Amino acid sequence: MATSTANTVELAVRDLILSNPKINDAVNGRIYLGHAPVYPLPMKRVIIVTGFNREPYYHLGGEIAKSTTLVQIDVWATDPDGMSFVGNNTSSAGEQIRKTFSGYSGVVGSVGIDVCLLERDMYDSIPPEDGSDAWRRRRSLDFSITHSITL
Amino acid sequence: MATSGHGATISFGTSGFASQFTSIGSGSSARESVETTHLGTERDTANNNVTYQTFQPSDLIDNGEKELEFYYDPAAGTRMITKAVEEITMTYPIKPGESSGGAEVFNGFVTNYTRPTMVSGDLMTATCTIKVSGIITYSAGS
Repeated sequence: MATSTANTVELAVRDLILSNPKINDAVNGRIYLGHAPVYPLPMKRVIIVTGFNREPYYHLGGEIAKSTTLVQIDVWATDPDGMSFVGNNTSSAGEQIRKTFSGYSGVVGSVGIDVCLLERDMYDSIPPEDGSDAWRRRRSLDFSITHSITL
Repeated sequence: MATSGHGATISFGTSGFASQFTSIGSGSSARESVETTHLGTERDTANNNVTYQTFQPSDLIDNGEKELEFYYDPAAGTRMITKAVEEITMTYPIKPGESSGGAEVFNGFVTNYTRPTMVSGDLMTATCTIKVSGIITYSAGS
């Protein structure tokens, strides 16, 4: 992986995804934090990383430098062949992400990741409104990530 | 006024053991009751002449144990179970309006040390039990 400067868990997740050339090439760098820059999504493949529900840990003197954050990785495709991108075949981006993160531990930038646990793995398909066959496909993976934080 | 336990501390005078404590069980003190019933103990003539046992408190008080739970740091390496009796200070949380919390100072030593259970996604914690030896000196918060 190229040197990461990630200092939040969301950035660490993004950098870890970017480090997989298959995924990076497939989305051509379209990995966004929190939301896609345009909506409705263009006829392209994108990945959106959203961190929410951070649970800190406490000792009797205050917060410790560790948290568990729920991070959602949405793999979107809006092109007719999108299912092969989000789907569960071994070469799909969705499956590459699952394999990369499920059970992962390591250091990305300045973020130490104790473990990533897959909490939910869901698909949905949204029918086209224009009568075409261009369904919007999404694979949504929620990971519970226990990681270091800077206090 | 009831207050949370957050802010309580415990420090070890000799070993210097320190950790991120998540729980301090301050324990209990107990003493036996010594029976003092004798042949002349008064009967209850209104109730079939039964005699009620009488007792006095023992002059021996066991100040019990304190249970500590803390985040386990494999790098810390302190083996508290091997340490001698030392002076230990436990402070209660500082209440609003106070500048220092109430405190208990006592001699004690570790009688039990439980290593962590390792589970994916859970932070490791360990526990230890401190036996209180002798008097506990209390001071109020101020």
